[in-house]
Amino acid sequence: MPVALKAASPARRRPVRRPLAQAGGVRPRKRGRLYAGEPENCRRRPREFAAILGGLVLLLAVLDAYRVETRDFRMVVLLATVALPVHYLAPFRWKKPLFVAISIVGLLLTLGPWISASVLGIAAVLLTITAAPIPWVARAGLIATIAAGLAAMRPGPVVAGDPEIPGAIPVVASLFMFRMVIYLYELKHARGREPIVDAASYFLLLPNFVFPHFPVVDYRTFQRGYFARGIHEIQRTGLAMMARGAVHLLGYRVIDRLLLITPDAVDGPAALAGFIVCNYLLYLRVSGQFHIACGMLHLFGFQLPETHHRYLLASSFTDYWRRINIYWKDFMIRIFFNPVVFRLKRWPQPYALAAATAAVFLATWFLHAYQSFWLRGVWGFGVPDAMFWSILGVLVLVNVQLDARRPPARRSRDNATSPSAWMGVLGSLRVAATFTTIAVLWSLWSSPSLESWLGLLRRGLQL
Amino acid sequence: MSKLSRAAWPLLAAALFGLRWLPDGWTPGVLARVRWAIGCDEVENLDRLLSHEDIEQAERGYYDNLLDTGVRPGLAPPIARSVAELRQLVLRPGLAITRNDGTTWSTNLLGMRDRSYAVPKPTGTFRIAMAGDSIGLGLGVGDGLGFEPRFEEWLVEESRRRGGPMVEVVNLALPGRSPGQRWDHFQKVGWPLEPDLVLFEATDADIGWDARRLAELLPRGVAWDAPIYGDALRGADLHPGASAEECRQALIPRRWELLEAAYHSVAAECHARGVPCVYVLIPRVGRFTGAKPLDRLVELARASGFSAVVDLSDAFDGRDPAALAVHPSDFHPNAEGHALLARRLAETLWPLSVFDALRPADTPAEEVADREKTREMGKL
Repeated sequence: MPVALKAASPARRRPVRRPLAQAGGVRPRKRGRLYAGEPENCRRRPREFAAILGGLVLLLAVLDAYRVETRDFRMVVLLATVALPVHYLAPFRWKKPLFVAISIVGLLLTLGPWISASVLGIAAVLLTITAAPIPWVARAGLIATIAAGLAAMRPGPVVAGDPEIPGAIPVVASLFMFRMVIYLYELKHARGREPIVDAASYFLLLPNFVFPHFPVVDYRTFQRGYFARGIHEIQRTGLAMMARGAVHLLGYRVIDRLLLITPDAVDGPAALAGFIVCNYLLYLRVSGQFHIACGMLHLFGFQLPETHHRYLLASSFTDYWRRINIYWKDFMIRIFFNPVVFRLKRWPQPYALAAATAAVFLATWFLHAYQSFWLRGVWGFGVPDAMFWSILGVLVLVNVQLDARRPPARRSRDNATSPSAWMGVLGSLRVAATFTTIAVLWSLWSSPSLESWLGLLRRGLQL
Repeated sequence: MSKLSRAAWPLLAAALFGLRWLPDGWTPGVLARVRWAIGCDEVENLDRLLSHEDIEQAERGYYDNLLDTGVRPGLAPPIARSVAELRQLVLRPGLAITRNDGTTWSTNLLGMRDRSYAVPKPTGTFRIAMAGDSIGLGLGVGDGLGFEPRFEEWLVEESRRRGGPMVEVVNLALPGRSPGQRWDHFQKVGWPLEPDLVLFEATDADIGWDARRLAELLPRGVAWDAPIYGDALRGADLHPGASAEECRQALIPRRWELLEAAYHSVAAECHARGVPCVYVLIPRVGRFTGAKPLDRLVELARASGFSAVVDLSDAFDGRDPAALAVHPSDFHPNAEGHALLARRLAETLWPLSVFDALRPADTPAEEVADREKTREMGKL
């Protein structure tokens, strides 16, 4: 049973930062409160929390003032704001179940009782199978069978103008299509059983109900990051992430409403350059949503890494791959790259790296279509799609080979910030070249066909 | 996350919040444009889905398609349902709801965003039927605030004052539909209402709209035999089984021919039935195709055989789009924009001979005075 909030024992007090206060004989303030047996990172400091809550209210006001994303999204942020004090004050061991409960409330609010019941029912079946006392292969096989059944039952593509709600399957897919792969991978290598509350909180992530396209959160990172630092520090980081996401989403609007022209309107080099750059910058909406989603998880104590890191400033293709959608990169490395490299460890390193990189990009290409199938109902395979991933894969592959051949000392020197002006210019040129290449490739990916893209280039370059 | 960004974001948030609520006119030039761009909602309820194809931005790539999918229409029920016909969708009949943006939305039992009308038409009633798109439908504004109901109200009053007949304007608009689709819907629902006059509402988005819609429909086996496009479609040399991309490649270069065929069909059918048909070109807020295509569109309409062509494309000229749009992401006019349109419509249409039946008692002097009065109308 939880005990009432009490003052922390002297041993758990945070060190006083101002020794002068002690020197002057002032009694150190009792900072923060803990229930018995709670980790230090859970220590509550009402004043700090009030500031965080105030920040969240301010952010909610901005999101609401600009009607950022959907009404459901803003409702979920409101729910998080209202539930956060309760979660904050709850004893540590209740926090994860409470987070799951808040997520379920969010599910009900956004998707209504019938779809929510279906989603929870399917989720319960899947989680029960993962925890069943049968061999891993049998569990994975059962889950694959259910997935195939759901795929067969999935409604067709959403037709423009058809406002019908697509039902529970895309929602279930959004929660499980990638995270289940990671979870099964972890179960295969785990020594013991995973706590069911950990699994439930991992799959039923509150912001996922309003962002079907969701970052591929890693299970162990999610689990290990839970209260990995002081809660206020984690929450402040989360708030800053959410604010950054909101800025990305508003920036997306400026690009989309003010600057982007239609491909048909491209009639010269300047228009082509403008289109290519703005078309690429539409990705701000993805990074914005991901920042907000992960920031919201931070509020409840889940410390997670950044989802994107200044991806517009990538200085090479491997650097780009490392910076954009970091969770995807980690997912690919964990599930594809490392296993391939490990299996090919007897091969010469360049061959093993090449094979692993190729496997990663092949998987990335297929899994983007897989994601499109679950969320949109169409696989979306096409020539531009295949060309985009092939060319990017080759560019990264070449970059990986070059990186691997450079001695580590030079690599670290290259990565370090150089004071030399020449190095600065060179770095800027590399950034510009990477940006240009990626933006041009992105325009290919966005085109409905290779002919359309070539037509765009012809019009733009006036050939 | 740097310490700077952590410290700076509350200030940035406060600045953004303040910017949102600054009075109109307090923000200079570029900042006003930025404010306009970021100022309102993204994917609220159905409007974006319904107008997704209209905005000629279908080529948006993997993520934009993905992020818009699964967007729920919110808590309000859907306003339309799809049908496997050329028109693609119809409005749900008998709705009386408040949509997520707070606007009221009602449809009659025939699936029109309008009040109920008697079928057959009562004797002594002058009935106008309007084929139109989402702007004609009043998407984004509440019931009674679109230009059509305002125009109807004005006509009723004027006709009554002059001893004319009872006037009705029946709204047969469908959101996000091309000229051919609008006419397909009109043929099915409009003619049974026995109109005395047809208004064919159009915008500059009509250019290429039929081509894009057909590129969606033909691969699904719909509209191959649509008579409205006649030889223009047959000449595209497409055959059942063609992919969407093949259709697109074949039809986009023929977009003007398809539009011409659609306009010709509308005018010819009205002429054959002895019902005058007025083509009304209205503007979209903040969207302009360009002077040359617009001139060509008007010329095309004139050559198609409509009883009259009325170009209101300058109705919003000189006005700040931010003050007239439903929201920045949209080209649909707000209530004020619709009021402007209604005023211009009355001003421009009233002198036309097709409205002679509504002013039996007029003398030439009264007509001149009325025109002056029409220009000063503030009540619309």
